[in-house]
Amino acid sequence: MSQVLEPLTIPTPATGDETRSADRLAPTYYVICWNDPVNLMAYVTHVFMKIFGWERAKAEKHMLEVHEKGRSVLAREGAERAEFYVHQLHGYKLQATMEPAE
Amino acid sequence: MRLLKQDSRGWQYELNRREAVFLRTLLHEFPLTPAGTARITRTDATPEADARERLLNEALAERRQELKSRARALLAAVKLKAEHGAWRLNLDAEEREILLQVLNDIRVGSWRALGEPENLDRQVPTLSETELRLHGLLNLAGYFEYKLLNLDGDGNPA
Repeated sequence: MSQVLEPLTIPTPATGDETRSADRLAPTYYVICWNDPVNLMAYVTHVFMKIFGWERAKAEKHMLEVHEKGRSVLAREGAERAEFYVHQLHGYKLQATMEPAE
Repeated sequence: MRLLKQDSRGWQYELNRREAVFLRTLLHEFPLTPAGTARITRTDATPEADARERLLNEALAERRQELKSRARALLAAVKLKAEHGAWRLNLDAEEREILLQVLNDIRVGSWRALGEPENLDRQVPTLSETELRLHGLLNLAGYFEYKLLNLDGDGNPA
């Protein structure tokens, strides 16, 4: 019966340091829309279609998620783009925030 | 209020006299949401998030001023005019979005002034005179949003 020896060194996984550094330099954010009882469901759908350029079906799916689950993640973006979306959504008086994705 | 036609130039709606009066009254109420209260995050406590929030509120304040003058322009005779006993409202795509934003500011602003109730169907007799007025603005703004989006009674596109 052959004996299996423990390795003397544990190989380091080859995940590129450069990739991790890049992640640290460019954090991403979730753009989230939160539920409230005042914005009309059809209005919210319209706003999602307008801002994100989505088809009605996708916009309605996210609108229903907001309505039923209290929030919906609409996008994951770098800071600048996430900020742009949040500004747009607030312009329509939807409750939207950007939250760090990590 | 009903959609008469929609083409590449925009939308044309027909309003009766009372609707025209109500729409004018509503637009004069803008803005109703309090300034400087928008939150940009619920979890990010970094200085960058504070700076972003300031920027957001500054941008919204600028937008508010712009919408105020645009809302007045929507009341101009060329946009909302009497024809054959009814009123016609002509909007291009940008004006329609502006009107939606203005109306929703009034709807959300009324709701906030009412104390952000979860239930919007409170019994009218329990409301004070001020609350009754805010409730009326909230419902009227919703009515015109529905009509602008050309929705049927179930909230689907007509």
